[in-house]
Amino acid sequence: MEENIIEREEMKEIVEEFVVEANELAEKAIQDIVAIENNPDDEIVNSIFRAVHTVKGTSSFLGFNTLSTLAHKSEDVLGMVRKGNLKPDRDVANVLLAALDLIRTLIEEIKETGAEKSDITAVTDSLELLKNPSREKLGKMLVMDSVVEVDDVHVALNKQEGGEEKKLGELLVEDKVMTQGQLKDYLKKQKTQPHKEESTIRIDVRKLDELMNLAGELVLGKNRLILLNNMVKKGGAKNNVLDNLADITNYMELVTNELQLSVMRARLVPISKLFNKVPRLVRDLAGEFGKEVELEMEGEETELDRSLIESLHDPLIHIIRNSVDHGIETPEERARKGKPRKGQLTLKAYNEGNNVIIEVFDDGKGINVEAVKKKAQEKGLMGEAELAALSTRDAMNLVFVAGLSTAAKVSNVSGRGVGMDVVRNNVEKMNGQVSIDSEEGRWTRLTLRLPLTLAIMRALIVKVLDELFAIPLNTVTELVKLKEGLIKSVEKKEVLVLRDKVIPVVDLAKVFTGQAPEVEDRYLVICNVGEKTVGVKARAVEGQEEVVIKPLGTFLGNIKGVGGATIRGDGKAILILDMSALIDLFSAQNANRKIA
Amino acid sequence: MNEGRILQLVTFKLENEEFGVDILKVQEINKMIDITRIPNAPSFVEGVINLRGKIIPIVDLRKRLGFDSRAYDKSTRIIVVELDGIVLGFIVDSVSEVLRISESTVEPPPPMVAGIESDYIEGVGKLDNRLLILLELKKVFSNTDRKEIERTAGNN
Repeated sequence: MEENIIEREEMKEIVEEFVVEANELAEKAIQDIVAIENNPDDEIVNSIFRAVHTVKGTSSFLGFNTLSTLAHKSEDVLGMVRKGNLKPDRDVANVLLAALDLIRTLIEEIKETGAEKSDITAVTDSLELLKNPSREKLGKMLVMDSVVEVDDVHVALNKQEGGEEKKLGELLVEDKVMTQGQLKDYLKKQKTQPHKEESTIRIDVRKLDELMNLAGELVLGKNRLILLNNMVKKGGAKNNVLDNLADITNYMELVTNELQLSVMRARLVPISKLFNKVPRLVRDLAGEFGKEVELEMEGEETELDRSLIESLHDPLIHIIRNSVDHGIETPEERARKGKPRKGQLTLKAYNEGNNVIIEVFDDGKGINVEAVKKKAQEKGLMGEAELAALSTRDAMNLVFVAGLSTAAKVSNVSGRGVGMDVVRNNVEKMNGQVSIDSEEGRWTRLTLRLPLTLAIMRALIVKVLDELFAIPLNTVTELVKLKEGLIKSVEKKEVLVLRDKVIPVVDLAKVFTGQAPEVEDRYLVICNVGEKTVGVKARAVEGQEEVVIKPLGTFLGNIKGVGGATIRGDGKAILILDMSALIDLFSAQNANRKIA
Repeated sequence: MNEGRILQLVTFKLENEEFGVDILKVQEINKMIDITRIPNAPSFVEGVINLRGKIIPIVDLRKRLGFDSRAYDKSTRIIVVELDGIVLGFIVDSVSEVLRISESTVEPPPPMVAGIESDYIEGVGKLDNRLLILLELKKVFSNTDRKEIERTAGNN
C-alpha cells in the first residue's frame, strides 16, 4: 500500500513536470513556425524539430501514445522542411500550427484529467498529405511570377518523373530558363534575428510568493521599528540607546528596501512572453475578418510582474481583436478612403516611473463619438444634457461601460458590448487604468497603465471622520489645506477652484453612508484617476507610508470603494481606498440626485 | 442500536441563550479587539481585524441572528472559525466551555427556536437543565450573504 502511494506521487510529479516542459516547447514552436512561414531559417527550423522530437520521446515514455503519435507525424513533416524538401508556405504553416494546437490541447487534457481525450485523425491526415507534396510548388511560384513559362516547369517535372534526382530549381537553371541568381533569390532565406536565450531559472511561483510575503513582513517590522524609534525619541531615553536604535532603524530600512526590490525584480518577466502570442493572433484575426494588417511591436523587453502577465492576457487579446475587427477597415474601404490597403497595428510597452504603459494603436476608423453618445442615451445611461456636457475624451471613454457597443455586426466576442467593460474591470483589478483616445476616421489608441508591483505600494494615510484610510499615493496629485471659503457651492455641489480647474469635492462619509455629519475638514486630497480628478475631504493627514496590501478575503467579496486592507505599525487594520471605484460611486450618486 | 456519536462543541452565550458549534471548525477564541469598520457592508458585518497579519472579517452574531445589539464588555469574545477555507470571526456575549455530548441527546430543531431561522439550526441538545442550540455555521455564513453584500454595496 505504501509503495503504491509513493509511486503514484512520483508519477504525478513526473507528469506535472512533463506538462510544464511540453507546454513551453509547444508554445515556442508555435512562435517559431509563424517566424519561419515563408522565411525558412535553418536554426529556427532545427529548434522546432528538436522541440517536437522531445515531446514525442517523453510522451511515448510516459505512455501518452496519442500525443506521441501526433508528435511523430509532425516531426516527419518538420524533417522534410529541415531537409529543404518542403517549403514552409502558408498551407504547410497552417497544418503545423493546427498540429501544435492539438498537441497543446492534449497536454492540457493530460494536465486536467491525466488522460488524452481528443481525436487526432483529422490533423494526422493533413500531416500525411503534406508528406507527399505535389512537386509543383516551386514551379508554381516561378510561373506565377513569370520567371519561367508553364511549359518550362512541365519539362523539368517530366525529367524528375523520369528519375532525375536534381531539384526543380536546379533543372530550370540547367535548362537556362532562369539564372542561378534568380534561383538564389527565390531560395533566399531572410535571416530573422536569432532568439536571445534568456539565462533564467525556473522557479515555482509559490516559492516566489512566499518570498514576497516575507518581504512584506519585513516591511511591517520596519514600520514598527520606525514607530518605536519615534516613541523613544519623544520619551527622551538615554543618549546612546537612542543612537543605537537610530542605527538599527536605518539599517533595517536599507535592508528591507533592498530585499523588497530584489524580490520584486525576481518576479518580473519581460512582456515579450505576452507579445509573442500576438503575431499569430493578428495573423489569424486578419484572416478571419478579411483584413490586411501590418503588426509592429515595440518594447518587448519591458518587464512587469508575472501575475500581471497572466491577468493581462485576456484583456489584451480582446483589445487587439477589437482593433482588427472594428478598428481597421477592409482593404477596399481603406483604398477608397485613400489609406494604404494594409492597416497598421502597433503594440508599444514602456516604463514610466513606477508604472508600465501598454499602448495599442491602430490606424483604423477611430471612434464615432456621436454614435457612442447616442447609444448611451438609448440605453438610458445618461441624459441628453449630461451627454452634451461631456468632453470628447470623456465621451470616448464611455465605450468602457457595459452594454455599450456601436458595432453593427456581432462577431464572436467583440460586438456584443460585453468586452470593453470586462477589460476595464480586469485592468482595474490589477490597480491599473485603461483609457482610449481617437481621431474619427483616422486612428484609435488604447492606453493601459499598470503598477509595477501589486503587493506593496506607497499610500497617504488620512483621517476621514473617525477612521483612518490609506489612499494609493500614485493617485494623489496634491494636498490642499482648507481655509474658510475655499470650497464653493455650485448647484448644490461642492467644488474647489484650483488654478483655473474646477474640481468636484467628495465627502467620503456621504459616499459611504449617505450622511454628511458636520466635521471640520482641514485638508483636501486631490486625486486623479484616468481622466477624472476629485478632491477628497480629510480631517487630518497622517503622512505617507509604504503599505502591504492585504486582500479582504472571499467572504467579504468585492466592497465597492475598498481595494483591500493593510496593517499599520500599531497593529490596527485600516482600509485601502479604491479611488477609481469611489469616483464612479460619487459620480453615480450625483447623477441620481440630478434626475430626482 | 443507536451508536450515539460523541459531538465535541464549543459553547457560548448570546442573549441568555446557549449555543454550540462544532469544535473542529473553531480555530481560536480571542478577546475583543479594535474592529475596523467597513463602509458599504451589510449591517451584521462589523468590520475586519488583524489576526497575526491576516485580515479577518468579523460578524456580529447577535445582529446576524436577529437579536438586538449590546455593548461589548469584559466577557465579550470573538470566535474565529474556518469554513471551507474561509476564515472569519463572530462576536459572542461570552464563551462557556467545551462540551462533549452524545448525538442521541440532540433532537431536530422545531420550526422556531428563540426566534431564530430554523435553517441556521442543526439541532437542539437537551442536557440536564440546559438547552443547547447547535448552529449550522455554514448556513449562518452562507453565500447568500455575499450576494447581499454586493447588492448593498451597489445600491449605496
